[in-house]
Amino acid sequence: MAIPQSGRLLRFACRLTNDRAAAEDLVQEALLQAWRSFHQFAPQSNIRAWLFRILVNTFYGQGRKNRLAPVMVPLSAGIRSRAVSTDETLEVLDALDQLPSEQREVLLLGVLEGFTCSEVSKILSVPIGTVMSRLSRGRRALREKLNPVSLAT
Amino acid sequence: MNCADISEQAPLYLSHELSGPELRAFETHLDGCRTCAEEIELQISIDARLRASIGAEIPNTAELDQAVRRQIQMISLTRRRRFMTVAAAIVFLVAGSAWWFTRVPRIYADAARDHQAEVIEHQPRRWRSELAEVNALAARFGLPASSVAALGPAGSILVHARICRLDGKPVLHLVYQSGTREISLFVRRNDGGAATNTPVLVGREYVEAFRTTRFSAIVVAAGSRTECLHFAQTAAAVL
Repeated sequence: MAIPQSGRLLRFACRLTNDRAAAEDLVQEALLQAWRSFHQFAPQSNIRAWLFRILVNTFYGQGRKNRLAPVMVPLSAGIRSRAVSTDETLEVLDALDQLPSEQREVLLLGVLEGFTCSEVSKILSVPIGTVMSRLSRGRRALREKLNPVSLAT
Repeated sequence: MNCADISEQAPLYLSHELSGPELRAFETHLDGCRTCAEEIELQISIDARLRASIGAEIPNTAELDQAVRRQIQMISLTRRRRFMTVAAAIVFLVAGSAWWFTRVPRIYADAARDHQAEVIEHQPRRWRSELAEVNALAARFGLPASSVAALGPAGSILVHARICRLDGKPVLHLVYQSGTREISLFVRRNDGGAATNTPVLVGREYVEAFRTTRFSAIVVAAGSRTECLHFAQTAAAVL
């Protein structure tokens, strides 16, 4: 039986780490952390947001411990090899690759994962105003990088 | 709401977090402002492209899920083992303390055994029955010669004495007769040994240990707690 949300967590982790193996390690560590601290989870709150928050905290915790480690590979490397990838997918991924990581994070959480601004604010532990401005800047930057012709469609 | 407000509030509008008057004001502005309406349309189309291009694929996590489950099982097992170790240590400590605090000091057990063997069962020993000989033994432990006979309560008589060892220490063993009962009194110089507050039952014997400034003594009486206590009180007053 699949662990709930592990696929979505892995998809997000791949884009955080830019490395499939590192992303799998990160998700594994985050899920174990969630299992250990499950007693702290408030039943009426959103378990998806809680899991993503743990993932983000684990990622930045690792980053602090091991600043020199991340070897950046193109974000889209994993997806690029897939048969289903289309020009459109690659174009969007390339544009996303070029965004600053804080804009990429809020776009992935707010748009792709469908979290509200206030949920993103809790997941990333940043004020909601910061999330809103990062989202606006991210959307604008993404639009500028994407082909204006395809934009018009 | 002006165009700057729309630009600021757009993320909330797109994530459906605006409601009531805020939402109405936002939509009223869009109805009347073509620039803002187009801007929001563009943002919606960007979101749609993002979702359509990378949102549809969710990676396969079968191996990852399995690895997580294995690790959880391992952690559970380690925790269970740790719990069992701690539980065993606690049981051991509790049982050990219970034994420690309720155990009979070896010297009491030795005294009770000697009384049973030598006085009750009359196993052959080299007893001294002459008063002069008993007094000589008593002198070796610093007991005044005259006090030996007076150690027993009124009505009891000194029968005989010998030197024996309790818990490896030399002790003067005095035996008194009181009615049909024989009572043992073991005396040695005060060595700080433990004292009982009340006679304790060791096997079939009541044992009362007490200390004075100069002597440590143990009274053993078979079957009678009162007699044991009475004898110990009399002896303690003399010693």
